Amino acid sequence: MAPVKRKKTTDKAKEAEPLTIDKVKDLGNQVRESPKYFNNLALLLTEYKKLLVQLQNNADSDVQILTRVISLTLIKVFEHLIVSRQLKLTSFDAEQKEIVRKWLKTKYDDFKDTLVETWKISVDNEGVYSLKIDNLDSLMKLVKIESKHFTKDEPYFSNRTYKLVLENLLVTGDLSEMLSHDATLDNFLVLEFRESYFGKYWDLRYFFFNELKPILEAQQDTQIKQLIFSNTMTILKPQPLYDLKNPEQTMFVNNPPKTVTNMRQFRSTFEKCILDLINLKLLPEQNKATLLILHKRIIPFFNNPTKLMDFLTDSYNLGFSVKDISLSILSLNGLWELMRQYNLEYPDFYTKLYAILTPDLLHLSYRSRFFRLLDVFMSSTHISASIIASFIKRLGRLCLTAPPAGIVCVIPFVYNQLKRHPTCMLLIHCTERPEVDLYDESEPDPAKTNALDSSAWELEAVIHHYHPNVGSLAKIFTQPFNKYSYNMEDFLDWSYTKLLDNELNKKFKGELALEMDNYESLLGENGYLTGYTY
Amino acid sequence: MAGSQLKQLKASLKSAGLVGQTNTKQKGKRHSKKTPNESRKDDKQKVLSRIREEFNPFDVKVTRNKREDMLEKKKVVGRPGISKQVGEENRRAAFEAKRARKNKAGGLVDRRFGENNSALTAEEKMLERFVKERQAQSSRSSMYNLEDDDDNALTHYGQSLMFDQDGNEDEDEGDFFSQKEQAETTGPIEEEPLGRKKTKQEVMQEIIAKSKHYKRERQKLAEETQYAVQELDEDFENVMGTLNTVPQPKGRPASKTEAEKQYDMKVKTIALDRRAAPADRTKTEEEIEKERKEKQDKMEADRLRRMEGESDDEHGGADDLDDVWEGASDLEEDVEAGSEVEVSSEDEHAAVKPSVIRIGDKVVTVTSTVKSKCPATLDELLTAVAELETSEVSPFIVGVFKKYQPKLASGNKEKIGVFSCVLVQYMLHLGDNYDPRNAQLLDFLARLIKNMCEKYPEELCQEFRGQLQEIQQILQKRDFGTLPRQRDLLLFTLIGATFSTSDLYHLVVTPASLLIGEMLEVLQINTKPHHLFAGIYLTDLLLQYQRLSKRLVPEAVNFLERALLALAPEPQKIDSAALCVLPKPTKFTLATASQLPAAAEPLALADWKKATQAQRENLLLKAVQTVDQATGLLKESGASVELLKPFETIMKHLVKYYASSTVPTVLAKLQNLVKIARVDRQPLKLQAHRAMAIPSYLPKFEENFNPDKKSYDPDQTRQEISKLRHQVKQERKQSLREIRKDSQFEAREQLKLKRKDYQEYHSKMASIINSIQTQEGQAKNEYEREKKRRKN
Repeated sequence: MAPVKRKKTTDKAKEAEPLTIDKVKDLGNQVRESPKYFNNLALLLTEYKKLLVQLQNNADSDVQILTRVISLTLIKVFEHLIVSRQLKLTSFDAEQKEIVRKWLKTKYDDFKDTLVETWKISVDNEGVYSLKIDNLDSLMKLVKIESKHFTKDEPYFSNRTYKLVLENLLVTGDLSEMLSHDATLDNFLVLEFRESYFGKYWDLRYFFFNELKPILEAQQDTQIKQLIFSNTMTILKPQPLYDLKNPEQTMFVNNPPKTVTNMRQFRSTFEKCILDLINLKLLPEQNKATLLILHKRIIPFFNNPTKLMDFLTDSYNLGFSVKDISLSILSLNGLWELMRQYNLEYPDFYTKLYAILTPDLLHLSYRSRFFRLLDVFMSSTHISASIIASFIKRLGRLCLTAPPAGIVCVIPFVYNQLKRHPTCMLLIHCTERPEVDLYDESEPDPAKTNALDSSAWELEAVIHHYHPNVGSLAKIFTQPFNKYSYNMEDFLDWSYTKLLDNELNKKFKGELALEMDNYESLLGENGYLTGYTY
Repeated sequence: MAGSQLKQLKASLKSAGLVGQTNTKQKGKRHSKKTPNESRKDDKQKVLSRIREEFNPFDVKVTRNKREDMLEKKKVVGRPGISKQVGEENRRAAFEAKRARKNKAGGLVDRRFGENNSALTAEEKMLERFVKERQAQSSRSSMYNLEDDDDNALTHYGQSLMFDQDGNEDEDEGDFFSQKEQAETTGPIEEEPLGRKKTKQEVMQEIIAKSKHYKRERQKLAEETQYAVQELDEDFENVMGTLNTVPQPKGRPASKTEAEKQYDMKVKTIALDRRAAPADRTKTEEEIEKERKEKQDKMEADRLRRMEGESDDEHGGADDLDDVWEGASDLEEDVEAGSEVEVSSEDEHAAVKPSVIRIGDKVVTVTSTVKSKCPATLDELLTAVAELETSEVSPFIVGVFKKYQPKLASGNKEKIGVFSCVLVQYMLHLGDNYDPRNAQLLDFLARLIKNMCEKYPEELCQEFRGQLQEIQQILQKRDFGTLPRQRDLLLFTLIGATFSTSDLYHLVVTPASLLIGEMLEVLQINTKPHHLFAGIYLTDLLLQYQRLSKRLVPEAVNFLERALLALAPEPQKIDSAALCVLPKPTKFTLATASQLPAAAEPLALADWKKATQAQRENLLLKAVQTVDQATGLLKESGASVELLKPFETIMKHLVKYYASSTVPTVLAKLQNLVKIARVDRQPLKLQAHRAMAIPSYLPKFEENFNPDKKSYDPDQTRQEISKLRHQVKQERKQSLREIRKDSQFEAREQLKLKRKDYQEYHSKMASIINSIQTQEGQAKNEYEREKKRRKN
């Protein structure tokens, strides 16, 4: 340990003065030149840790720069050490060397832990952000270098470091900032990981799910599990895991183990992982978010998607029991996928579907999703006319309290149904019938509601809607049914904003009709609106 | 005729006397006619060509009618060969003429009269030329000659020697152009048979006689006038003499007295005064009433038309509201009464002279001291009114309108337009920072803005829509910290009071309704008291919007239900089957022991964030009243049963707690309406369309068929028009054909000419080359010979 001793004397001299950038670079270069300067590593590491503590307390930009320089230098040094195989574990030559190696190894692990620790700094500023991202990049670089140089040309992936990265990466972010509509997190580290690594390299994706399961199992805290879930959602949501027809496999490390290309293996790992995830105690938003991406991002990559059946049917029924039909609508999507491709049988399907038609439906943002599916479910001409009539009648009733965008979805749908099932024309045109309304609105079974013995007065009422475009759209029921069918897609994505923009973009054409009556005041006794005062 | 062609030919030649015995003496006239040898030869040619034609079946084209026999029409015989040849010749002539004139400028055009007319004799031609010349001269000389040219005419014994050029014109208007006309003019005088031509002498004599006659008459007339003028001249002297004796005023008096000046002024003003016209008769009460009623009816009709959504070409409605225009128009009239001098020195006078302005029924005395510029932004206006009392703001605004009247300066119109928009912003600003003292000012502004909407519809429309857009942006962010602002409520109310909300489509009202609907959808009424207040207010407002057109507003129906359930005591006990909203107890659920106030007190916007028991009770009462109002609208709908049912359920529930208030009456009304609607409702018959006509393909049979008739159109004019159209079409085709033929001919000819030129050139060149070759050969021969000779 001669070099160490010598170094210590110099250390003491230097401790008085703070490290400068040049000094740090010098130290780094010394280590690379000769093993006798290895003690510089310890010096830099301690300095680095000190700086991190300073950063916790909102240090100025000089400190940030210095920190980054130190971490870069250290990375270079360790890279050099790995490449020159001074860190290699499995060499049993001189005992002396073995001790140095072990010492280096502990320093290296310490360094990696320190890098990961930086993610826990809760200070928000530019410097810290870039430091965190730098460290992510550095760690991934280490994964790459380790995988290449820890073995002699044998396939190897550095699972240990990668697990360390994931373990710490997935618990970053704040669950309270979760975006409620898709349960993802706006976590820049995770986003960066997704953009630069996960999305690009197949082996990283493969090992991600390999490592995720043990990580989840190790965790006890429900809160943190939910956090991990949200981070995983953030990573999974934007794109499919791989192209099903043509899986392109760009590798991150040079020579990954062969098992990486085993899709079956991957699928079963993924399957287990996801099942673990969705069986966690999830927040309602997370539940919905899972349902949202289920049919596109998850089902196709399952070996056996029927395993999701329980989850889906539970969610579907849960929607009815807690009167939150959006849950049912969302699980409907996944259920449909299972029914279509995996022959899932679902009893009383239309009764359940009919139950979804509650007054909330047309107010939900998921209504277009639902109508797309409903259009598919109702496209069969073999459904009995009484079921169709019940749906029409119920949808018409919903229109009476719906926003214009919702009504706009219903009308072309009903038109298409009437076109497909001419028997249902009785709903809007009937000449011989007792004048009593026989429709039973409390009957849950659409086949038994007697809707065909009723009339769709609700649809007629919509003709007098306050918005002229909605009114004129509803007038199609009074006109001859000449059109073959309406393309539902044109009507599904309307919203107040779109309608309003449409209105406000209309040009002024020289006339602005004024109120005929003149009111003394706006509010009050003789005012425009009585019953209120300022 | 019978037999072969040859036999026929022989027979016809023989009958023409061209073959066989040529010099047989034939008896009768025929023989005697053919006397001179030459003519006989010509005759022979003619007869031959006729026979040739007869026997050439390709040179004659006969159009055969299918019903020839029936119609007994003449056969139409055409000779395409000949007509083609004729056309060719004509074209060639034209082409030659054109070619001759090609690349030539100038030349002589023979415009002499009748030179080519072979029907005129040489003398007649001379006469014509002479007359023409005279006419040309006369027209030239009389161009600027106002007097009769008697003076320069030659006379002999007082009689003109000139030929009167007008002579002919007096007799008939036409020119001497045609032989026929000449015959007509001379005819009646000489009473000679038409055929005989007059000699030159006769014509001249005739003309001379005529002109002399007229000349005499004119001279007589001229003499008479001259005499009359002379007489007048003599009298004039006398008249002037008498006139000159009147003494002339010698300058103006040096100074006028004040009285005189005043008098003069009076006289002048009287002279300049408009002539007194009978004033419009004072209308009787009934007449005024009738007019008002007519105007009302017209407005109502316009409104109905707009409500039905019929497009209106005629610009009605807003412009007819003359009587609505109160504030600003009166201001204009004020200044109109004052002279322009007053306007120019307004700054001095304004401070002294208060002007009285009537706005609505109130009379405002304004001491206008508007010196600032017209505020173009809200900030400018706010700084301008910063130090004014609340009561002084409206006079200030009136002052601005007065100073910047559009008629006073260019650009004022735009300024006032901008100012009107600023007023809207100002009003909303006042609504934001509401102060009870501003109540009157707000109402004043509301009326003023309505008036300005008539004058500046485009600007204000833009302004209102801008405000709506702003609200929309806040709404989109779901920013409930700011969202229902009092100014928004004020804006929507202002829109309702200003614009015709019953229109099917309205540039401002439709987006405003949509925005209110969206707001009602997103308001969080279960947690925030002012959201609940704003919601009930907006629902009320929407019902007010639809009070005439009675359209369905689903958002309002839905919201009303939500609001009632948010306030009703023990909501979980309500049967939720008929409801659209799941009843749950909320922050505002009233206690079972609460009592509704007997009479509704007006809800104050100022304490909309209050959530006290009394306020909530008031709100519930208001909601119940709104339901009561809404029934009027909902019962019109076809689905009134479905619409009213939830309210009936809720009212049934409420009645348990508030039996002594208005709730039971509302419930009774609802139950009654639902019962009636159930009974009255008929099955829909939306597809009761008129039967569609099926096209028939059977041919039409004409009763009175007539082959002669070209058209069976009973309309005479249409028939004529189609006939003319047909003719035009034919003509067009013909002329097109002609033009095409012409151009083809021209092309052909040009090609021919070119070929000829080439040929000439080449033959010339060939001959030249030939001669040169000959020479060369000769020279070569000579050279060889010489060479041979030298060798030897």
